[in-house]
Amino acid sequence: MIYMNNRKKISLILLLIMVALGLAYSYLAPYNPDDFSSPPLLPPGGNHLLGTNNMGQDIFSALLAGFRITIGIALITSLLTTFIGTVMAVLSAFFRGLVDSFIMRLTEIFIIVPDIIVIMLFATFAGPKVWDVIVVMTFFSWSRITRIVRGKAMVIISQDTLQYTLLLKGGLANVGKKMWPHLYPAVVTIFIQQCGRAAVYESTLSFLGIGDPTLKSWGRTIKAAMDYEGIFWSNAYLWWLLPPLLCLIAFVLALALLTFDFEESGRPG
Amino acid sequence: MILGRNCILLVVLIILGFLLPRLIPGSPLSFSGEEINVLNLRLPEETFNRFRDYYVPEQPLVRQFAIYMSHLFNGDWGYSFRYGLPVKKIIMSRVSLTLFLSLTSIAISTIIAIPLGTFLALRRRGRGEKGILMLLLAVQTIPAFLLAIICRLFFAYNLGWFPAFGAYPPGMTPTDAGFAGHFILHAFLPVTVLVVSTVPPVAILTRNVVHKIKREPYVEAAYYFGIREKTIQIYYILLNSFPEIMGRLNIIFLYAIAGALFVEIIFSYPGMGTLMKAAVESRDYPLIQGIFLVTTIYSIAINFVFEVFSDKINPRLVT
Repeated sequence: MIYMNNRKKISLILLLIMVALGLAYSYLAPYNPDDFSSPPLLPPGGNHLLGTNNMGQDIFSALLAGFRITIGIALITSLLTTFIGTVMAVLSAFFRGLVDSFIMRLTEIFIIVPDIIVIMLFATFAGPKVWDVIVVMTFFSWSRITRIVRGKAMVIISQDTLQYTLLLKGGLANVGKKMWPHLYPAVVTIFIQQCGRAAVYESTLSFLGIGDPTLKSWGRTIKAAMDYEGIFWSNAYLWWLLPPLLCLIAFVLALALLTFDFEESGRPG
Repeated sequence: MILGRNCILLVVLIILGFLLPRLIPGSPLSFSGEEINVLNLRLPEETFNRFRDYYVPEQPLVRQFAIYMSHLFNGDWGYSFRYGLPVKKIIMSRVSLTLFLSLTSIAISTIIAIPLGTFLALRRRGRGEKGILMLLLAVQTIPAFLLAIICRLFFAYNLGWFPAFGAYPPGMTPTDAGFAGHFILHAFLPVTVLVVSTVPPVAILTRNVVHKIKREPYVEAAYYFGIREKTIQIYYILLNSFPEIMGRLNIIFLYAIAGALFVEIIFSYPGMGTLMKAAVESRDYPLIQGIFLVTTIYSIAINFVFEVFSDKINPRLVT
């Protein structure tokens, strides 16, 4: 296990608690977040810890659902993104030449096109399924990772062990296997950072009304609160808008603190 | 060399901009008689037929693309379904506001962030430095759209210091007295949000690069020789950090453009972002295509300027 200072320990514990809340969501939630049988716009207290929204749905349950949905989507997206990004980077480093420059040009395109535009396109014309959202997010995130990991992979492949493997006509699988132990600390860090990005990404998309409207992610709850006309005219934003906002920030911040090193002189890549 | 690469990029992106709306299912340009179509339900028969004559969706894709390109070269970007106006005209009326928002915020955040990052790296490590870094990191994790919501909540609604939406009071024209004041007042919050979300990544990047250069052997040797601290800081460290900072800044600024589009949507600032939202909501293909084209050209331009610039000041980085 790597050495961890207090800041990292606290972040890790916080994250584990959040994941646990997500896993235990169905046991913890007092109501079904879609159930609209309660009176609308109740202030916090009594049966409703955070009151109810304008549809008469329990906000606390929606907040809890966010732990499962937002974190779940973030984990899956990050896993896919990191996997694809790393594979592309290794391919780039292994074949070099044409393959390398092709992959690099490809990543350039993805970085230059403002993703929001293409995502809005996709989302309006394609179905609002959660998998579509995950695919779109992955589609637009892998290139960043490829660029970072490729730099590392290029260095690693020039090391002696890898050069011997190449000399012995080791194939892609062999080289990949030998590279992995050197590569994986960086990949794990990137995976964690990518979780945060994906969570932010998902809430941004939800906020724009993109994605499955039945899934109560934090972004979706934030959007519902913002869409309610009178949100700022009463104190409703205190228990409707702020809790999901703070949860999201806490999650992303914990991820960032877990990976940030003050001593490190530069991010990889 | 750089120009050539960016030109190829532009061509690829034009093709992409042409293909994307046509590849995604549910296209109003598929026009197959059987399909229930948004457009032929909404548009008057005559207008619909005119659009069909213009976009010739029954022709093969390659032919369509050739027609699209010839239109494009003649400066004709097509007609918006929703507004019934030339796309070029609509976009031109909006693009200056997005340019204003993004360029102002890029300029301001560079002026703040690069000295800040340098200062953080050059100072001896202490609590203050760590605190500022943590703060930057915390701000960096807050997505721009949340920041925009929070700002709007406190400064526009609770305190009422700034208007909550628009670029100027409705009905006002640029020739009216006091227009500039209102304009600045309206732009203040969006620009602030963009600056606050762009400063942390730039400052952290600068800090990391300067910090790395500071520990290079030649800098340590310079200290060893007793060269004046100021000389080392300026000539040995800072001048050598700039190329690397420049080389990585362009990606952050490309994200800043996308950020500007988001922030516009939240503040209902009438630039390209809000236009895009309206276009997507009404499935206005030609307009979407036009917006895609303009933002892409803008991004490529920013990228190009940075590449040329970092190429000029960095003789070591020969690619």
